[in-house]
Amino acid sequence: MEKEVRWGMVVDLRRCVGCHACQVACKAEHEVPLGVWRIWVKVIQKGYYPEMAAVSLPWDCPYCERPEEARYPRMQTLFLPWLCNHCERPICNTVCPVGAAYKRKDGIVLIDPHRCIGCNYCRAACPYNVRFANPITGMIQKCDFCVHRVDAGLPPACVEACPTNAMVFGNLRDPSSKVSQLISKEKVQVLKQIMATFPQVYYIGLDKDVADPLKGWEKHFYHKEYERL
Amino acid sequence: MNRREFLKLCLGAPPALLFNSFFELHAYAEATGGKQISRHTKKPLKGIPSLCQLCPARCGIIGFLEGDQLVKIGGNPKHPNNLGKLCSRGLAGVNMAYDPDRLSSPMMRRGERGKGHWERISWERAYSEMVSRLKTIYQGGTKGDFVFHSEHEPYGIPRLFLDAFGKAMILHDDQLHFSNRNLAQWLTWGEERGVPDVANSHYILNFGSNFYETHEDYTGLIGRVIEGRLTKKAKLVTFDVRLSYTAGNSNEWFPITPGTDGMVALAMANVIIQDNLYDKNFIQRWFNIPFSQLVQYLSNYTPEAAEKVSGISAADIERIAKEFAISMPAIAISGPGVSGHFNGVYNERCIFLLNAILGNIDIRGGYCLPRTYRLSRGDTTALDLDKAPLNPQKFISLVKRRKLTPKIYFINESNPAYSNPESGLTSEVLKDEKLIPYLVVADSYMTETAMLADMVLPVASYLERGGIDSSPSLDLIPFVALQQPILRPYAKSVPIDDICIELSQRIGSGIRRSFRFNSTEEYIKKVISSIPKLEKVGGWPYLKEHGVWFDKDEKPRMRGYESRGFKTPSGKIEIYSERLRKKGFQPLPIYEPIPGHGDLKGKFVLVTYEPNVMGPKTANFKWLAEIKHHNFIWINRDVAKILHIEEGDRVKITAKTGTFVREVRFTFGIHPRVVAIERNLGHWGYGHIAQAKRIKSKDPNTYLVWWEKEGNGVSPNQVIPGESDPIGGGEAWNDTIVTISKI
Amino acid sequence: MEVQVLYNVFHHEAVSLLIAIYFHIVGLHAGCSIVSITATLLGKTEYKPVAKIGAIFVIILFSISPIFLLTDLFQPLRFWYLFLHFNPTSPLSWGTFFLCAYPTFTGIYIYFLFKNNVKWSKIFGVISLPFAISVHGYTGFVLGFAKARVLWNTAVMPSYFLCSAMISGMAFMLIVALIRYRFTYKDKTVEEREKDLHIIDLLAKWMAGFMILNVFYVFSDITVMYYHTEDAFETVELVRLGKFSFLYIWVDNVLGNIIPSLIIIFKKTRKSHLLLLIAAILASIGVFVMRYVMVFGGQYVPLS
Repeated sequence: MEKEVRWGMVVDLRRCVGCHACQVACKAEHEVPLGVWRIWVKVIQKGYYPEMAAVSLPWDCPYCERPEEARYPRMQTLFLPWLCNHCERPICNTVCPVGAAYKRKDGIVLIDPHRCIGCNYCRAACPYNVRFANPITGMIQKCDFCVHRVDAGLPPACVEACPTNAMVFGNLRDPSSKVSQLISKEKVQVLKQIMATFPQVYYIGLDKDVADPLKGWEKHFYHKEYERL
Repeated sequence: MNRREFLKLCLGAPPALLFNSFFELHAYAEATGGKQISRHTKKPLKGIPSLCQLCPARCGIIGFLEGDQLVKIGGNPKHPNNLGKLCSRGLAGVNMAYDPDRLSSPMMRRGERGKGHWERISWERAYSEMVSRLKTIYQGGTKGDFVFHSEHEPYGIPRLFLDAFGKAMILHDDQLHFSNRNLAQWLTWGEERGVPDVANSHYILNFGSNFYETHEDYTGLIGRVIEGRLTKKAKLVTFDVRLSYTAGNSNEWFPITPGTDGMVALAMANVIIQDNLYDKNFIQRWFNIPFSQLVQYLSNYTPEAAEKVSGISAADIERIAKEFAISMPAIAISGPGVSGHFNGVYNERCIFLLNAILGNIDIRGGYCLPRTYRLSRGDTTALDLDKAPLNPQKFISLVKRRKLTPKIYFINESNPAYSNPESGLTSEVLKDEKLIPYLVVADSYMTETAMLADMVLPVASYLERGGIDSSPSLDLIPFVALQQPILRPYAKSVPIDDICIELSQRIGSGIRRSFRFNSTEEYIKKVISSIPKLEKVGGWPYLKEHGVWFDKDEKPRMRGYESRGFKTPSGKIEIYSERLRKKGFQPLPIYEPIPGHGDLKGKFVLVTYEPNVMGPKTANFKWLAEIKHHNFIWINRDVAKILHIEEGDRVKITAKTGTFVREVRFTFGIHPRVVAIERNLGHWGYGHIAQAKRIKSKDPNTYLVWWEKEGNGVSPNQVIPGESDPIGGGEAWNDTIVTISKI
Repeated sequence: MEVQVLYNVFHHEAVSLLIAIYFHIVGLHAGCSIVSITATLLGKTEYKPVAKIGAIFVIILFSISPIFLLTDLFQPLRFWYLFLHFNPTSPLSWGTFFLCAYPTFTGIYIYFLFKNNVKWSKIFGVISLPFAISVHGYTGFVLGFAKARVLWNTAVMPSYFLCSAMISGMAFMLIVALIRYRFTYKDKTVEEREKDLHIIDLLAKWMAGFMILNVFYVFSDITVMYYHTEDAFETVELVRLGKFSFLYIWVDNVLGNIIPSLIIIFKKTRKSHLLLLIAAILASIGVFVMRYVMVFGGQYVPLS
């Protein structure tokens, strides 16, 4: 008897080293053009202001009038691979006017390339901004969990490529699968739970600041202003 | 593997899948990796195992072909170092296969050097041009007339050719980057580099290494570090001047004053000895100085003294030293942040001392001897302290001062005009026909150096040529890995091996006596015939199929030095180096302040670092350039406030050798005396994508370069003054003193 | 807390300027047709010219609006898939239905209107009125159902859009009526002039009413968002104080709503046709700016 299958992913951010291998592997697997991404790794740096710093190091800083000002914060670098969450209740499917977006029985959210009219509505509706218009083919595309590989019994390209095995792919309905074990044993989170789309990509060790799109974004994109209207 | 097996493995979850050790990682890698199916036909793709050559790690790769087109590069799960994994650079290697910017034909300069007027010539013409010159040198020249410069130390066929030729001077970029480390370690324990067995460590003390982003064993090492940290709960402590990805993910990060790592290591060694946490037996048996002398020597290096120098509080030094000593097995790792200094060799020896006094040498979870197969006798030059250390930059400055008069400067897949420190001087010398009479560049791209050449030869990329390698094994079981051509050479490219063979045949009799190979394959077959166990499992056909071979029954024998001792003159770990003393250097591990760093009032130390997606050979890879195409100057936020600089301002960096201008970004993750900038960006040659320019070509992506307006950054190499460690000859990359001014 | 983004990717806007223009034009003709139909239904003969002017512009504007919609599609040749596949949860699917039904019924209505067949024009007016409302109302739902963007995903959005559509339609008709009066009053009798002035007065008053409603929507939208999620807070700060504050607060609301409504409310200023014309033009600009700010301000804040 074939077991019930619901594909899902666990991204163990304690293992992630921000190497972008998943991002490049995906580009290779799907011939994703430049300027659009099916998966990408967001990287941030965060730390406390000196007055909040947990440590105080007596720096002999030649630039500081008061040396105690140049104390060091505890800082960390955080990574977040961001991909389609293959939601249980995908808003992109709900709003597609021609029903080109659909969810398979095993939970993978797909786009029918022969039906999609490229109206961009799903792109506008997706709270994770994972959909894009392929500038070469003019198709709306997104991560499809490498459905051709999954059907052939292989893990998605990003999972296979991850040098630290931070990404784990498997059947969420199977209690003995590694994803289920991780979800039941570790403290997992999803992105934007408030959106009630019930994402099926779980993160272990997710930090609120890396998950928050609004932290530091204006500074980061200041040089891209010209691309806007 | 069929679907059911995959389901069993991926979903059924035998305990092995929880990665309790990296041996289980092998199983996981072999079960899930190394297979690709076509997106269009859903049929498995044909895979050819080979080796990646984009960085020194030399991971095992598999090139997947759809028809005769290379569509993807994946990791070779049978390769014991990278276990089927690749970093982003390795995965993006497929960009190189059909890159329209690659050189397609041999070319000869028309008009002045560097003017960019080229005439396409035939290979026949190219060979005859070179041979006529090489023949004269071979028959009557002196050593140094023919200078061969490659990215790494030449091995295999080019090496044999150069040895047979006899009068060649060999330069390679590793001399700039690794020779301090290599020499320091060689002087101390007889090996140039050790293997950190991080997967089994309980404590990783990292001085200036950034293995989360780049390392000599990047993919393999980082996987093991993560395993160690997650399953062995290893603590990672980093000393680095800036918040690298490694520092940012360490349990503790200490921003250290540049170049003072040695002092901290010595103070830690002192603490360990004062608290009786050392391995007495090991020290007595394997150190070449009496224990009492060591105690006495180290007692000067108190944590308080180290605090004054390095800025790290004495309490922290003491605490970390004790933690390090009691959480055996523990390991201290050093990196370019330690060795890329004027005092690099000394620093490196101090950190080695820290490993040695705990007896952490060649044990599980410690700093292990490299285990490799010796493939060819001539593959590595024995280090020699007596010879004046040479590196490509020094060579250029010697040529400039007319101390050296090369006749032919042959550069193979290296780019000194861009990557040398003080790169402006290199360009100037290479342009001067009186100093370099004949410059041949063999490369896949029109690099900055190739633009100055008299003749440019297109060489086959690593995807299109063969070779054999035995890197130090991270699992401590030596292996042999085969590099085989995945594709036919691009356009008229020719592998460097074939160029060497052709040259030797044309130069004639004498050279053919000591160098008889007619093809790379012949050479490889000869090499593997010397490994009986490999011959037993099938030899050449086995390697061709699997790409890599190691003795599956072999168990690593730890403490390998016990039987034969160390490869030093005394057979022991030479904490006291007689060889250094003889040359007039300090024989004991010592901290020596970097000249000029004492009083930095109003000045900064410029530190360069390599971003994790952009290596020296990947500049024209579209997928990588898309991620990393421009760089900023990172500066401490507090310091910037005092200097009245706003985030995003353009500032001018002035060193004694030059200036450059770049936008500034603020962070708290950097020492206030340091400004940092990424390397490997800011090309003015190489290719369109490396220069962030659009181009219409067969690949529509090359017209989608969206970062055209952002530009491609700036290369800091022009302001690095080209000063090297007097002992090791490695470049002091991280000692440049600069001033900052807002423009 | 110091957060510095080291790497993130940049996404282009999903909804383009073409769609903002389309929203505006649809609002415009829907507004016109609602005014026209209402005028017909009220049955007074003096409203007839208004109904006719409205009807003519409905035809013109409707015929250009799909161009924007089609050129925005990445696969424009597949537009007819919209008729083949109906997805009840997608407002775009409803829109297809309305965009087909609306011209049919409105066309018949206009035909009878110009035939001066009062009875049938009234009947078809009644039938096409809900379609005229829906054809613009659905665009409000289009934005309202895109849950990614807090500026869109509000319950007020459909009625806010309808209200602004009414303003733009009335402002447009007011401009036309004023111009018409200006060029024809010399040939008209005093009585006819009185009638025209009455219509202009009525249109202006209704417009002012919708403007006040519009300001109320903006007020409730913004204030509620202050009590909403982080995204909402950031977005509302953006339209109130940030990049879009000038366009949204000053151009759209102050110049486009408050000042025109003040002009109309005071009897003295209302009598000045020049001021009325300025008010109508300001209102039209204001509505377009509102569409622009809704589309681009909504998408300005990143999602990843």
